[in-house]
Amino acid sequence: MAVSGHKSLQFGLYWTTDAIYAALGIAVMYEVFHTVFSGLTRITWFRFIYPVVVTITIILAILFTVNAPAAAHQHAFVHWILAAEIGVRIIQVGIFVLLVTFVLLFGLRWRQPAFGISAGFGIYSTIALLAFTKYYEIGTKFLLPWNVLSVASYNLAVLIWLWYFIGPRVPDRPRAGHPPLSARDLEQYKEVLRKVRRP
Amino acid sequence: MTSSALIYVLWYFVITAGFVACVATLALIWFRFPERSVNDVVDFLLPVDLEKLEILLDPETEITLRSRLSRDEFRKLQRKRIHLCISLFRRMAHNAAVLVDWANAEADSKDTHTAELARDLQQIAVGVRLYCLTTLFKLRFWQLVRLESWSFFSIPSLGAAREIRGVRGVEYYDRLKSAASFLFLERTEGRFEELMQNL
Repeated sequence: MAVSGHKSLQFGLYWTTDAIYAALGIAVMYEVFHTVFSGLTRITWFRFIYPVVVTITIILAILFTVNAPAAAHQHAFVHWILAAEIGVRIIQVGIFVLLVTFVLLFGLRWRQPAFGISAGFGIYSTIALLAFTKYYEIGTKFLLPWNVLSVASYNLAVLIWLWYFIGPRVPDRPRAGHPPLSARDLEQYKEVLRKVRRP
Repeated sequence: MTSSALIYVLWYFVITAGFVACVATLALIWFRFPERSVNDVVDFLLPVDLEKLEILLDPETEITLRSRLSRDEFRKLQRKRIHLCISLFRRMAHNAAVLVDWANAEADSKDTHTAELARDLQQIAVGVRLYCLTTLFKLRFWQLVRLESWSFFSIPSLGAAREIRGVRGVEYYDRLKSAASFLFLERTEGRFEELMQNL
């Protein structure tokens, strides 16, 4: 509201914050990835998944931007900020798909805040990408459905985040450094347990 | 295929993957097992004959069989051995999934010791499942292309599935049994022998 009278200032401010939002989006997804998969980072190939996803996304976003009609935006930097935003959306969908795959394959916990954050962003980004594509294909006739879809999907994402954060939070406990359990440990443990429980 | 067509395909692939992930998440929430407790473990496990698996994966046994049987006889036998291996690995993967689910629930325990044991179990069970699924993928591929039937390829060795990326399957499953026993004994005294039989 403070800059509503200054069109150029409003324009600059909007697109600058949009660029910052895109950068923060990548950081958030990195945090989510790191939190959920911290236990699997010992597997060598796993460490490369996030950089690979980001690299593929950047390539896809660049290719899309280069191929997209430039006339849609008079300013080149707006064109590239939009490309970055699309890139972030693709990363969000990619990480969400990856998380769902790992939850289904390995039984990783789905009821954890990191998964909720990713699900919210993933669903919003999937719908946003579809709406964006249709807008490009159909044109301004799709403006109203685009706006409705964007607002509805963002509200859905907010509801998902609320649902995830309403539940009780389990505090993160530091992991013990020792390697867990051998058969001999088990025998000793059973013996101790028998003695303790014996009346 | 032109580059724009490739981008178009990739673009829709991302969007479709996002929607599939949304549906999978809904299915996951809808069909999930209600909070798994210690009482919901033993009955859901499938017995695994680890000694049999060890013999199947033993390279020396395989060398002996190769030397004693004709190529055709060994080819037929190897196909049966691959089927048996798949059956055992499926059971192991299933058990690992049940234990991950249980460990996920126990990891929220207010008792620090129980939570730590649950997290150990989680870590090992995910490792076992990763190993089993990777091995199953490999064995299924052998089945698909009937690798043992091609005269210009050597008959695949099951010994190659013994260790995948430094993880020795049978030993790792033994650790899983220990980890499950530790947590089980921490939570209840009854049905321990049954747990051991079913694992």
